Amino acid sequence: MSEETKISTVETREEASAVATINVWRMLRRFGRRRGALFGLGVLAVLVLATILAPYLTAHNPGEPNMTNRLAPPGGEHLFGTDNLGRDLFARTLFGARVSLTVGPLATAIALAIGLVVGCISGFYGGTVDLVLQRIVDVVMCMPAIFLILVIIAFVGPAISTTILVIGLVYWTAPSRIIRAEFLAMRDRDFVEAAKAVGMNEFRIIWRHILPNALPPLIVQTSLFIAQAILIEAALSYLGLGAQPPVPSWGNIMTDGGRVLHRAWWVATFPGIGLFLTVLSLNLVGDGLRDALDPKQQ
Amino acid sequence: MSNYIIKRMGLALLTLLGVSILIFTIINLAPGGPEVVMVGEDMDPALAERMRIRLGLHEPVYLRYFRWVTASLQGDFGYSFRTGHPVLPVVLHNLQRTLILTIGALVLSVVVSIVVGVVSAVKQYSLFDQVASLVAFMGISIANFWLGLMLMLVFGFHLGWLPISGSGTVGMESGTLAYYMDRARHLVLPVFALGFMRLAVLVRYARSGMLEVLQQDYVRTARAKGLTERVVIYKHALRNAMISVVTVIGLSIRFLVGGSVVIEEVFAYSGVGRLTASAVYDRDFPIVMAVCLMISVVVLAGNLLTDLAYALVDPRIRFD
Repeated sequence: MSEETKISTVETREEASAVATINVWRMLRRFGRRRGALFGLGVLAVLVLATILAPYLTAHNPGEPNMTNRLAPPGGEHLFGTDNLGRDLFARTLFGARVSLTVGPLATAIALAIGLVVGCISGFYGGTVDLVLQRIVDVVMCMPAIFLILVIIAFVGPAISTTILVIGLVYWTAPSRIIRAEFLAMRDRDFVEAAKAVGMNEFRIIWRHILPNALPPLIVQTSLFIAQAILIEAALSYLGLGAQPPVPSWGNIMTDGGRVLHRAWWVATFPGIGLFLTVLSLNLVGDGLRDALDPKQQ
Repeated sequence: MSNYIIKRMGLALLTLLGVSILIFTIINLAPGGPEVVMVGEDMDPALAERMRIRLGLHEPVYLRYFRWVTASLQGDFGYSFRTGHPVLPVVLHNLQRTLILTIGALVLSVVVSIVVGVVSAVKQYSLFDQVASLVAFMGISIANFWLGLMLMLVFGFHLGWLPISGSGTVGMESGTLAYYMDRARHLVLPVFALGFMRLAVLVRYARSGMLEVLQQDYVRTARAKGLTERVVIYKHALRNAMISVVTVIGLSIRFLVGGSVVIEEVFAYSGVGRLTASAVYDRDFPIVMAVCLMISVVVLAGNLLTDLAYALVDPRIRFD
């Protein structure tokens, strides 16, 4: 009997890993066939490189005012022109990307961590625990995220670190629902029953057996979450409640741009294009990944 | 049917209770309590004590929460820290204007997305479909406030077709037709900027919902029994495709109210979002708390209406 079980486990495991490898390759191939997704990946790579190499790509200091050269139109020495204090807009846009590309992934990491824990507990235990946790999710999801964020910022005061934390604290609900759904679908499957039957502790079942199977849908959505986080950060900075001057961010450059819009279109336009391209690329990558994982949904 | 509605209403009330606890907790978590945030950390201890008593902060937390909730239920949201005026009239006035903006954006996005989504699905892979899908994809990637700024730049400054900001020309006599036309003109750009991302999201929903329905057996049956293509699409398919769209309309309210915060700032349109943003600068907590509660009521009411609509559209829900 035990001999039999052993053989069958080995077989299933091999089968499972074989299936998994094929899936990964197939996913990569499908992803590679999507021109949009590859375009997005390319743009993101260029953006990340450009932000890292920012000091080498421009001779101008993004914070240095030049009162004799205010609102210079794009072209010549100032590729994107200058703002109302005569600061070089290309340098500001380039350095501003650093805020977006830092806040987005970090805030998403916090949101995913919280969502993962809540989702695992809710989906694994079900019953009353699930009921209570889901009501909390309802509460957080009820208010528009930005209002909740504003309430918290009213106390802690605006700063980049606050922005990261607050976005993470508010956006965990969607990831938690995804993980919960996966757990619910898997909690009665044979491999979970088997793990329980051999007396494995719950943490190990959750961590080693269910979670690895529940992760793919979440991973696929990660770039979409980052896109959301970048948009909300830009909105907060635009309102003056995110990254604070003198640190340039796309949001706060656009605040300056809005004030001089009638005289200098370029100040609000260029950081906005940067924001648009970044979010677009992240969405393209996310869409490509989703198609690659599950071609049925389109 | 009534069971379903009662259950939904109960859940909504429970959520509202949760929201009130959440807001109250955040406000009272502030280091040193709300009075320190109001006056500053280096205040005279005697003054601090008087302030605590005046604000009722010397009482236990649960009693304060209870007092706040009962007062709120009676419409007493306290007084603004900054102006000293009662909070309720100010919030209601601004809320009404935000709702005009939000409902405008909702109607725009729902109507246009259904038309575009359905045509896209019926003529899948046509030029129209490809352009619509591309625009929709760009729409979900564009920041609404940047779109607002760009619209303002093109239609306000360069072409001069529409007013760039505010909610009406100062000094117009209210109640006249010209007055309402003027207000409507002021709404065009903000409504479009606010609604565009939702429009894009809903187009994708409507399109995929319609595509799915078009593959169903009953659509094939309808065709097989010789109904005209128009009847098949607009009578058999469309109604069923609407179910998936109706569910997202409720969700849209939350996103639109949230998006209005930045849009109101861009267009200097004084609504509840702009009120909150400035109240956050001033740390005017009674305003912030009142706004959050009322926004939640609006969102929950919207969700309830959606649930109702859902039950009306889809008979399967009613008999569950």
